[in-house]
Amino acid sequence: MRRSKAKGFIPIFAFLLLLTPVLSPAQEARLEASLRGQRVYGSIEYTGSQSQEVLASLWDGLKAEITFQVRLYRQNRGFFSFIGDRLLIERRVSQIAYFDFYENRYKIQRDGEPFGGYSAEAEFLESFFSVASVELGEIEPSDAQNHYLLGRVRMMPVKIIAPLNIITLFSSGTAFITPWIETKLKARGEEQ
Amino acid sequence: MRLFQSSTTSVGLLVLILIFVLLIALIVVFSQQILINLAGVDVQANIVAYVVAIAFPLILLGLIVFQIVRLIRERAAGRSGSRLKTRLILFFVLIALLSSIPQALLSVNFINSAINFWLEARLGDALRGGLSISLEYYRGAVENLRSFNQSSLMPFVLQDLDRNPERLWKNVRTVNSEVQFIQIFTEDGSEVLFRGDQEGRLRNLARFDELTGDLPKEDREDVSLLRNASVYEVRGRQYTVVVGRLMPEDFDNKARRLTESLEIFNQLNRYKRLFRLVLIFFYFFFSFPIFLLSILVSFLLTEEIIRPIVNLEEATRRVAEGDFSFRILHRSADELSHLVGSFNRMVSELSHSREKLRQSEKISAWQEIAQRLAHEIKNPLTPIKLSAQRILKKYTAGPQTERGEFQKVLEASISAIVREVDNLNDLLVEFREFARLPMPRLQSIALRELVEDVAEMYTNLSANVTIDSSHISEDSLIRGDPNQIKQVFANLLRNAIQAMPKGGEISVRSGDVNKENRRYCRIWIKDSGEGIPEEIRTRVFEPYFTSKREGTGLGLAIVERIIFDHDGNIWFETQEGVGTTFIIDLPLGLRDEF
Repeated sequence: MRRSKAKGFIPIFAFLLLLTPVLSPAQEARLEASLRGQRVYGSIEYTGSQSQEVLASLWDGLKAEITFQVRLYRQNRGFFSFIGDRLLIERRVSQIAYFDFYENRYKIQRDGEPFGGYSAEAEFLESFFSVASVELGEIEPSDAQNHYLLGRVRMMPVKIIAPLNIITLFSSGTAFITPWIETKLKARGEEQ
Repeated sequence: MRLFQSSTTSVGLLVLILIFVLLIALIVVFSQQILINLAGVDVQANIVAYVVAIAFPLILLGLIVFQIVRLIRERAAGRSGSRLKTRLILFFVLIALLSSIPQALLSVNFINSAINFWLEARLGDALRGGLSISLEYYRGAVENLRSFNQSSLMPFVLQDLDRNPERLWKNVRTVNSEVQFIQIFTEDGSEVLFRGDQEGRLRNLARFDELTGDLPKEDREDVSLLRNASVYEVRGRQYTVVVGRLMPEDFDNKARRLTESLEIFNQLNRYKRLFRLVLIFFYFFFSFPIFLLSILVSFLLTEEIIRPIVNLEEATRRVAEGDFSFRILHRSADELSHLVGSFNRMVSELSHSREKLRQSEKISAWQEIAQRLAHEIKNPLTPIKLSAQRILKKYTAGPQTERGEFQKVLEASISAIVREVDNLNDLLVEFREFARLPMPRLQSIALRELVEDVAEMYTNLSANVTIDSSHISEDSLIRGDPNQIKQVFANLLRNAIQAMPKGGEISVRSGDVNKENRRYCRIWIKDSGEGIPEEIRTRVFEPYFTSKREGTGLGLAIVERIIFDHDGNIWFETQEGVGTTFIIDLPLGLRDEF
């Protein structure tokens, strides 16, 4: 299967080589796809082991950031398969977490808007590390077997403000990026 | 008159400096934007920033390499000014380095000091202390509302709810002056009382059942509100009592700024070492193009500086070669301009002096020619006169003279007159040829073919002499007028044959030479004659000078004149008893023109 994943450019690679960045260690994520009627939804969860690191940074008055990236692809079969699969849509959900010392609660902002406040750590972590039912447009249910989802997560235990975030180019410890994970979209009959 | 533009002067320099300043301003202005873009998450979205950040220094580097290669080639070709240009560029680079290195060291030191200063422990303590005070104040206010609303006084205060609400509000304020509003709801969520600041009034209660205990702080544009809710029973009915207060104006903004400052401080503190390295890296990342730009400008600036000097050198060379029509234009009013002015005046005066000298030389040459011509014409006049007198004398002697003797004298005298008149005619023809040599019509000529044509004529004239032209390359081309060059070879070969009365060999060969950046064909015509005596060697090319009894003395003068007219040169090497070699340099012919 050929995929139209993000393709780099030679100058970028040259630049990255110049900067000799240290690649982030691989982290894990879980991706689920669902079809409700004609609508496609993706749920993605970060399963890395940085929860204590995140909590520690929030208690230090810092913020943590997690970005979920989900893509819906349609497979190109037959003669045109060499040009790769077609990217239908991409959705990004960005969550920023911080600890509100005044209210003594963890708070999450999703895409810049207040999303929720949590007193319990477990509840907060579950909400922060996952995003459910990201809508990815509509497809013909009968054509579902020709579609699949790709997803990845970028997690920063400490959200570094610009332009300080330039240091993320130089250090692997500042951001964790999972590899792309694939999930097939099941046809209506295959869903359980 | 040919004019040479010496320098674009201040305008060119100004444009150069303007471009330099503009590029540096662009780097300074956009460096922060580039930094922000580079720090972005999405590589593809920031492709422009990446390309700019990589391509700009690479383009500058490429231009500098191009300039260096050009300079090396100029030096290899021996182009005038290239050595001076190299020295000046090295000087500029050295100056740039001398100013950049201390500046870089100072900047790195400054970055270190600034980071250490910003991240001083006291600053962190102060921020944390500020937050702690703010939290203490906030929690105190929350606690105050909670303790008041849950205090044992409240049931008594609420007794006035139906009877005297104004007294109820007055009593609340008397007991706790920090309470700024009170709002009381019935069980079904209907408001029965509100007193105090209208800002604190709860409207549109969506989830009334959650209205209990410390309510979440409500943030509005410029005010934040704290509330506490408790349930009381008054005369058999349940009421939810909400008491609250407005936090001081801008408290929320100030608190947010405080937490943000603490966040930045903690970020900096956590990644201090890395951030310092990144700052230093980016300092050099943005300084490097400026340094490259300085070097590039030094190349262009050097060109500007040395151009008048190179022009002056070129002009001096041209004048030395005899081109007095050369002038240099220089618009600025600096010392160089004075130098150029002096040079132009000097060349002008030199040209006038040379013209005068040429005039006087011409007059004296004509005087000499006139004297020689008079002498040459006078010589045959005597035998002509004597012959005529003899005829007259014999004729006047008349009958006494025998007829046969008169006829004999008449024949001899007429022969002498005819011979001398022929000599005079030859002399005048050659003189006319010398005086009226036409301007050469230049074209590319195959040298070997031309020499063989001339040699064929003279080989037949003298059986004892052989002419060898086999050493002339068949590809050898010269640029000249075929008729005039033929005359040159004819005169030289005739002289060579005359120099070898007992026979011998004449060898003609050729080769290419470089003289003053110009390519010439050098031709050697060597005989095995007696050589030229030392005492007459300096006069060989003088008109009317000859060592031969029957010569006019114009042959070699014509040869020299033709060669000079062709922008060439001629000289000879001779050794008595061994032979003479005439050497000619003529401009090379063009293969395309042939």
